[in-house]
Amino acid sequence: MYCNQDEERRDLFQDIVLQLWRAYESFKGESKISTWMYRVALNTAISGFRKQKRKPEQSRLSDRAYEVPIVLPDPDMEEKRTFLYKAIDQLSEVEKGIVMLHLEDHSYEEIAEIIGITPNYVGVKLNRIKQRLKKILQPHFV
Amino acid sequence: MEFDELKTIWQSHTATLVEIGHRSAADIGHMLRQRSRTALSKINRSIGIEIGILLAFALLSVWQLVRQESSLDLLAIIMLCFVGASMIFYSWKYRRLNRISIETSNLKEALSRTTMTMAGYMKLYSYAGMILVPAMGAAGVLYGVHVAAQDNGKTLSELPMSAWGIIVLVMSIYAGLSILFTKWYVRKLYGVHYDELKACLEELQESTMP
Repeated sequence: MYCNQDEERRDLFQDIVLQLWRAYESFKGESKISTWMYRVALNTAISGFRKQKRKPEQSRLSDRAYEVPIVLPDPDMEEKRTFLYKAIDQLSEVEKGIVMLHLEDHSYEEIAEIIGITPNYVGVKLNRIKQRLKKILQPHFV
Repeated sequence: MEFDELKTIWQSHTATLVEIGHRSAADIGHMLRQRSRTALSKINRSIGIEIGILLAFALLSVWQLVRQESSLDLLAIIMLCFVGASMIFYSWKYRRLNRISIETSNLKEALSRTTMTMAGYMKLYSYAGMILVPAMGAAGVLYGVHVAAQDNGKTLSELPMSAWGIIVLVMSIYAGLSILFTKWYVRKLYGVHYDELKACLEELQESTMP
């Protein structure tokens, strides 16, 4: 979601692993380890100061990004997945993080803890995101 | 379209991704031994190279002074002053930059701290560039004029006012251009990223606005 190409994805993954390793000493057990890991990963992805590449629409994923070499058993599902990725790609960086956490079944409280906003505001943001996704995806999800 | 359907699609996909993206302990160990490829790490490495070059200039200047070949002593002293000032600037720059570490706090706090550190770093970079580069240019021009005057059997104080007018004009143009260049360069290096982080932070701050 935060990278355009395979190479960038590999770099980001490596950096997340490095940051988790380096920051592990600072983990005090005040939150769940998974919440802490999501924090570090999201901070690395959003504010990790990657080199900017001049592209017409910098934050947009290229078509190649959707070509993950996986074929889901159901071709219809595969198509819907592509549309879902493209729809999420139209959201802001913060919204992408919030919706990803929600799609992975994190509670509003956990999302609030990772992002740093109130659970109520997570709800407000998610409502807006759902409206937008619905608008974008409605024609493809009959 | 129900959101639960999206969750199912997402989770089935990420489950497969996790499966194919599985890394062994050896792979992870290999990753940890590699250098970070973030632009921040690359800038740190280039600062190291720049400091190395400055130290080489400093050694060259000291060697020149030790040789006691007076014609180049003034240049060596100017160079040492420049290296000294630059080293102070580089150590500030390095400390500022390395405050931008990956945060383990929540995203909003991390963004707030990172944007604040970046703003300070950009300001420091701009001011240092705006002072050091024109100062070094002025010293270079004065040294050149001094050598040229000496070749003609004159001293700087014997130069006519018109010559000083030209010297001041050249220095002013150089200073103006270097200030413009520094502003443009800092903006090019960090501006886009800073604006993006600021936009993310503002989006998160909406929640605390009345």
